[in-house]
Amino acid sequence: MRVAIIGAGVIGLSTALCIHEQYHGLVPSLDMEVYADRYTPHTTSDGAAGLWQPYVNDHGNLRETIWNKETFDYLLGYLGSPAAKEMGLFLISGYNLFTQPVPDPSWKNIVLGFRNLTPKELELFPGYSYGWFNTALMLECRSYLPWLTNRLTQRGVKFFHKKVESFQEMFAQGVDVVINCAGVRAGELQPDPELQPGRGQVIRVLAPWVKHFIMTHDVKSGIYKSPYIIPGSEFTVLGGIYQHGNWNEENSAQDHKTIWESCCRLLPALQKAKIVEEWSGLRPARPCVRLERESGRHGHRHAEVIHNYGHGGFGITIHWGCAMAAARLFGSILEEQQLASPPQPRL
Amino acid sequence: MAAPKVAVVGAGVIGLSTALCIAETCPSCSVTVLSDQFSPNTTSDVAAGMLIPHTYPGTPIHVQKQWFKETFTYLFAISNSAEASEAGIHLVSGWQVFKNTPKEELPFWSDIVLGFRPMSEAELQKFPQHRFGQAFTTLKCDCPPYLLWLEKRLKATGVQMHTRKVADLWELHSEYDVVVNCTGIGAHQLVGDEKLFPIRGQVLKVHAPWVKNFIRDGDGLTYIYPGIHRVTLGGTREKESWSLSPDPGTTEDIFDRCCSLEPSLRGAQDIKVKVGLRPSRWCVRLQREVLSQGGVKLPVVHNYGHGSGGFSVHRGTAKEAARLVGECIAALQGSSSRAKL
Repeated sequence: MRVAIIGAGVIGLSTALCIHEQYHGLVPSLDMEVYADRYTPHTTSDGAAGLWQPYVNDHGNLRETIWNKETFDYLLGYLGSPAAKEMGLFLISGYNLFTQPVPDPSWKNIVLGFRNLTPKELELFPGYSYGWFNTALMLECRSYLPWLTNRLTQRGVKFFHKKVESFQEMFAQGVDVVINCAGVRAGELQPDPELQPGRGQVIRVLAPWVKHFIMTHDVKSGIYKSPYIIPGSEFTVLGGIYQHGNWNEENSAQDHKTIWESCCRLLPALQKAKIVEEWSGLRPARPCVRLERESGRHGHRHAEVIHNYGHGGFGITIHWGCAMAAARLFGSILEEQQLASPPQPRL
Repeated sequence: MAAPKVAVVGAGVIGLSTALCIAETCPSCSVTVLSDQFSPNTTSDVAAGMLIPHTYPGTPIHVQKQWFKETFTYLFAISNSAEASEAGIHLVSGWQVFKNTPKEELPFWSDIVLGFRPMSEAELQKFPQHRFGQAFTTLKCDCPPYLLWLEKRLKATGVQMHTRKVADLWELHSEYDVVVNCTGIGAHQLVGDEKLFPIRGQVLKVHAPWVKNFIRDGDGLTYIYPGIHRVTLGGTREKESWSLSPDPGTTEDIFDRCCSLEPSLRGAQDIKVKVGLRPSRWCVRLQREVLSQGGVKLPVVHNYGHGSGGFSVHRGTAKEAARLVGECIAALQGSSSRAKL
């Protein structure tokens, strides 16, 4: 059986690994291929800071909350292992700040040590009157994607540097199942008006004295439009830009100014930080993640697509839960094909 | 009396912060720091500089709490300013974990650090050998940056600093009106204080920038303190050992103990080993003394014996020492004006 994964960001590679791990032994010949025109370090995932944190409001989407939890628990299990450093995985504590009281998030019991901020802590953040403190995880894709790639390569998965123009192109080549992890450009494979870019820009600085993440929220403006500071293992990421519908991947001087000024106001110590890099990326924004099967035909053959895209600004946060859900969909495809094929004569 | 001349002997965190407090409270004073060692070669440079107080058996708790509170408040303000990175001051969160539930569940400083609370069951799962823990956020003073920043502030206020080995406080009597003794472990020999003894500490300073939280085991023998560029792994408490040479067996032992608390440290790079002698005493010696020889008097203010708690209380004891210096000067001015009559 030939399986093609389109997309080599965190969603594509983790879905590939999850399916291969679960089904490689079960399916007689599982040939898996990854197709992408961008590989690490040039994917959207690579630009993300890597903080595990869902949006503060889950809009009642229980499926996604469960996938977030599955991802957190999965990563937590890897923390004490020798692989953690290579994966770019580590614990980090920090602050979420608000200008007014807000309900606790759906993920308060997923993260560690969730609590409200004390008045003395709030003194650190003039202008913010309410907030949370918790310990979460960082998963840096500049390390995680190579780690996933190594695991896949060891398993014999093949990689192709190619922009796939259509699902038909894959089926015409003899692929049986296509896994669509094309992220923000999934619309080029199949139109989806619900999928829009959520443009973000970040400044990466050297500020190794920053040990906490600081996420501010302006409930009126919306997610990621308020400054945030996320310290990584090497650089600290400053951000706070979210432009819905903007496809421009070029850095904007205006956005740079917005990020720099608002982050320095939030953390005066940043004024002395050295700027190393600037990057813009397009969050694959969608009202909810598209994670479903689409069955069709290609000529007289059965053609299956599993869609797994539209993870907005929480791809890293939700990736493993989605990979497992995609793997379950793959399992159901296998089951149906077994029922469809005639029983083999026993000799 | 012309501008009173004050000599501060010692250039670790205690000497430099005391000199700064004296310069701040007595602008007319001429302050000079004398030391045979400056950063990066002081005992302070070896320490992680974590604001987690040591309890001195001989000092009333309310006094220790006041010193800690003053120090914490002072550094908190710096950490929240543009000077933070230069001064080496930053906030850090983490856990204090216990294999057995401690006798006192709430240390005296729990309401001064930020967000102090017991650890949850989920948090404790990261430490399978430990049954109880406390989470909080505190401050860290990275050295050398903090000492270099203090030196810069001192120079800006006109304080002179000289490398000089003072063999006897009396040798300063002709040049200075008041001497402040911040010699740390050096006081054992300098003033013959038999109650002062070293507690040798060996530490590793490693490159492990993914470690963002501190971990302190039980009474603090084993610890992981992430600094700006390096993580300090410790440690040892060897009473009465004067050896400043790193011991390789100890290095391995510290590393193993820390890795069992934080397995990812196995990937730490560029391990540097350092040794410091904690200037330990039943209580901090923070008091006035008058030395006299042949009718000549030399007022002395002692400020030493902070053991493993120097950083935690340095500003508080520096302010008290500066106040005592003020008393000495007032006494000198009083007696000199009496002499004029």
